[in-house]
Amino acid sequence: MIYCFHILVCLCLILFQTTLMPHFSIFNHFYDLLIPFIVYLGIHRSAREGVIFVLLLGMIMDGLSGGLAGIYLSVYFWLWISALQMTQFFRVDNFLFLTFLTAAGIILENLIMLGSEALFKSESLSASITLNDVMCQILWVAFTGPLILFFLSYSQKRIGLWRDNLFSD
Amino acid sequence: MIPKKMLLIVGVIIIFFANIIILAINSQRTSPSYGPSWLALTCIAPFQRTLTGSTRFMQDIWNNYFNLVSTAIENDRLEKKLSRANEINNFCNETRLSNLRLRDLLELKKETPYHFLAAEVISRDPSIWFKTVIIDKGLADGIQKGFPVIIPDGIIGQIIDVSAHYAKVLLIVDRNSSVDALVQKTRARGIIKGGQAGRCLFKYVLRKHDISIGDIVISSGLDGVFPKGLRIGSVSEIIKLNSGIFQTVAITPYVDFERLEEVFVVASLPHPGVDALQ
Repeated sequence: MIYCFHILVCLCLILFQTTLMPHFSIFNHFYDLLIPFIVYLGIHRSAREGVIFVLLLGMIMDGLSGGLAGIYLSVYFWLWISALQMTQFFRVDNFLFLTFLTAAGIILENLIMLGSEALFKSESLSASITLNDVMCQILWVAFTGPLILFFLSYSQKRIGLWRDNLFSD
Repeated sequence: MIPKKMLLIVGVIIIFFANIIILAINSQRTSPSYGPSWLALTCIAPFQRTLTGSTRFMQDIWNNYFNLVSTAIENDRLEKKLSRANEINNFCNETRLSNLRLRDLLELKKETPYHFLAAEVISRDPSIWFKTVIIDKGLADGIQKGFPVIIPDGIIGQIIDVSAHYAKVLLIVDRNSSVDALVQKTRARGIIKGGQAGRCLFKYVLRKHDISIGDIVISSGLDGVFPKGLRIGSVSEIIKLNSGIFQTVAITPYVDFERLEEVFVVASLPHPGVDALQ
């Protein structure tokens, strides 16, 4: 049940990001919507379950994007590992912590993208996005990232309860 | 006995370097038309197509039925514009006919005919770092990697990845894109690369060439991808450094990449896939 929910969420996030958001100019500098989902996998789901989704999502996003093959896989993998480790030191239901974690995810993604451009492109580095774009993304994620995380963890609990009721009957 | 913490640190370091090596290998080769990319296009694109179709339908309803207030004013404006366009069109036809006569006289080779395949844009790149779109035509429609993509306003980009029914287009505003181009007026040659904020950079243009703001930049046809003479954009800024043999020119593309809906994929006649479709 929970796997179906996760697949559905992934699909909705990808479709919203690639198909609907481009129609609205307000979302021109929006962040990668899968980052909160990866953070959620890191802090709420087991490593075995998380790794499957991280690999799958990384490959799908690499396929849909025009970037270097494997770049999204790297971003999601390192973000997931970081979120997994963070849960050992912090309380995961703290709003400030979730805001920090999702914002850190955005910074990590941009740093990896910038690093790959710098390392693997033969031409001189002139990033196609500016610091303003990254700041916009961080502002967006600071307001909406924790909400997505709360929604995901709430839905997970509801589905768990619903499944328990279904099987107890 | 090695402590668990040490093992973890060593593991992370090994994965980190393996990650860099894999990315370095991937950066050196072009992705094949199968594998993760093919899988993503095949699995996700049908959903994107459906959702785009529904969104367009709603937009059409809005535009056609609820947004008619300014239509009369716009109609007047367009009628005036049309009469002016007819005048220019007549002049162009005359020029074309005289061009054909002169080419015959000089016995120049006839220009290669191109075939256009119409396609619809169904999604955009999920990252702001890269500028690509996915279109709803693929191998089954005769599309192959490297085919140029255009609209009447100008050049869009070229196909970089293709699956059975979908293809990925690298836009000319992406940093990884290159188009051999020239200034229509002065014939100064250079390379168009993607720049910032939806603009392009016209690089490797010799300083000696006199370029002014507003000059039209067209494809030169020398890159073997884009046909000669397609409009790209107009000069919006000229950057001449104190030293160096080149000047860098900022170009504003004619195409509004935020509003891309339908595009044409250019396929030359000798292509077998397209021949089979004819």
